[in-house]
Amino acid sequence: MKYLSLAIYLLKRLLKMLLTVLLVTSVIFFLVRLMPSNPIDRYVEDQMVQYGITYAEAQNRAAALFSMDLDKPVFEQYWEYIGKVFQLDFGNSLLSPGVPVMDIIAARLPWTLFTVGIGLILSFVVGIVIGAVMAFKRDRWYEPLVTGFASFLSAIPDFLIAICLLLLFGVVRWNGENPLLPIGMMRGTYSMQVTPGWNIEFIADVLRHGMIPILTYMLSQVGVWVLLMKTCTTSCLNTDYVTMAKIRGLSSGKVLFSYIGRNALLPVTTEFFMRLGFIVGGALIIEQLFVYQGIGLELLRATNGRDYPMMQGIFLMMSIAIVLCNFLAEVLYVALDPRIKTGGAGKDGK
Amino acid sequence: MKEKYPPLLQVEQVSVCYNTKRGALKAVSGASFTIGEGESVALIGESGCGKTTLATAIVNALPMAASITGGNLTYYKDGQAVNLLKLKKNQLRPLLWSEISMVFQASQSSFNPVRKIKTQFLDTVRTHDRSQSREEILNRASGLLRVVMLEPEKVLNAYPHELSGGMKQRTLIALALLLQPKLVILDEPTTALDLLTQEKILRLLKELKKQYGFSLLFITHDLGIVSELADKVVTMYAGKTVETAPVRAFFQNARHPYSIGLVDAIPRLTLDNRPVISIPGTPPDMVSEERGCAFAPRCSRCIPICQEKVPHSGAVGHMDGWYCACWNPASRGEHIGKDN
Repeated sequence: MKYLSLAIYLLKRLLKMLLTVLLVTSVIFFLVRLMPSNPIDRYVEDQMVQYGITYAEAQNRAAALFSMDLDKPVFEQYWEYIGKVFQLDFGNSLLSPGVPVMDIIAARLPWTLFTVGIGLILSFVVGIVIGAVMAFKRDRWYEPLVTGFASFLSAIPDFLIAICLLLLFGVVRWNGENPLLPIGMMRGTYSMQVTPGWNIEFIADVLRHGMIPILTYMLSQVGVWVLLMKTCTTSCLNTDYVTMAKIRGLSSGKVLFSYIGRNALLPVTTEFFMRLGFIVGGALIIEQLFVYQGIGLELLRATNGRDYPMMQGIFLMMSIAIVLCNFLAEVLYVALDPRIKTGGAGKDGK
Repeated sequence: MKEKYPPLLQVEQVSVCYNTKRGALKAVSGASFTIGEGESVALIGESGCGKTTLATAIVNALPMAASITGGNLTYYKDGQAVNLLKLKKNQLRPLLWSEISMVFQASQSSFNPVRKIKTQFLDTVRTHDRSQSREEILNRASGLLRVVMLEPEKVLNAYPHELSGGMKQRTLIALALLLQPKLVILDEPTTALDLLTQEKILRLLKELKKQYGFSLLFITHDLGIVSELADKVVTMYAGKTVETAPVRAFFQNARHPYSIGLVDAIPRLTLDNRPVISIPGTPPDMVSEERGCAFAPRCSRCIPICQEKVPHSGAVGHMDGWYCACWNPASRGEHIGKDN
């Protein structure tokens, strides 16, 4: 009985999520077509500027290249697209003719997940620890300094942090020696001469390439975690149950983890999963700045060339990730906090 | 004269200050009284007079902004005197709950909201005694919960939010007795409860006290509870203990004008039309420097010296353990409460 209602609940949630994704996909479909210009014009302009060919010639090339008929009524195109999406066919990229959109995403996405994900996890861990410590030391002289620096970090845009890091690691000559990283040689996700695979050189190379982006993501987010965790911990510190735990003679470790940490982490966990959904979107500006071949850079390229299928594919992935992570956050919250019972689970539902 | 109760906890000249933006707020200044073994002491006084602060100081749970600025808290552990204020944290921790336990005013939120009641009973015992098995602990917890008239199975497996206010209160009392402490501090144990539950809990406390023989320090505003439960009454005013009196003496014949005022402020269910008399004025600001008796501005028995010098506590009356800090205490049989 219990499992049946749980299954019904999950099924309902799944349908709801599917509906959300479908809705987002539809909106995106029309939104990308509402942008000024279109893929063919963009291509023709590009060809004329780059290769100095005539308009007619460029149009001929374009006609040979684009398999998509953009003159069809837009709703006809829409139904065609939705129909294909249900068969998990997301179309081919316009800019790279013949290559399925999902192949490109599959090639790019891991790099973004890697850098943004690690950056998020690092900032989370570091921020939680600093935030919790600051909550305990909130009467010390350095607490306002640390908290102030945290709000400063969370207030400056990430691309400024990225530029500062670029200067520090790639330009400044410490003690007159060469810069710490040869950034001129470090475009992309890994160097040409290493062979991809589970070997030391490749992993080290990947880490070296990803280091500054990861550091950027970490620094730009760590402040938020510090502030959030500090607030949550402080409010937990003043609760009666923590005072009570101390009066009961519990060891400070027990009080710290089981009473303060456990409760302070509740809102922080939700926030973490909300943000986790956004890592698929990547960071457009950061990836462009470092010429890091992730999904963000691909999205930027697709947008510039008005590559409709590509944009739709990437946005679809993003919306799926966000909807999924919100669902995860919800499920986890119910598991973490017994006070919250989801309407559908256990009882007969809303 | 032989003392009726050998001392268990001596509070001597304890002072607690809060650091506020306006300066040091002396929440408790020079409070003194003694709790004997098996004795039950009521701590009464207006809101904000420092009762709770004093009680929290005993269990070393003062908030960060507060600090103990003086005095001694002498606890007699198996006949040996220990000053609780001089103990290091890890020396004090074993004493907490196993010797002194406390039930909070806000018992509604005294349990960790994300853990089952069972877990909170278990970790309380395990902190103090690693040798006990899970079954032993849960058995004892069940026994105690049954004593406080709760269903152990239901309560132990519940989360705090699944219990009602009265149930939480009683669960907390059960938890307070779990390690058989010598002293139980109750901070307004019945304030949040309806009259019937109040009555139940009072009867329960009396029973438990008889059964387990612990000492009780309880804070209350309700003189009805005092008359039912207390052996001794300590009256606090503006952070000072102004009168310590045996319970009969307090109700029949309090000496300090403030105690008299408190007794007279109770409405009575008798047929005489004696009006309820309240005390005029408000308690003093505890940040500003004191001069004279803190109660002087509101006192009907104020004489010139009251404005000049702080009165010291001295023995009054013929009974043991009756102290009063007043320059001009009411003499025996003088005030209107006596014929009751």
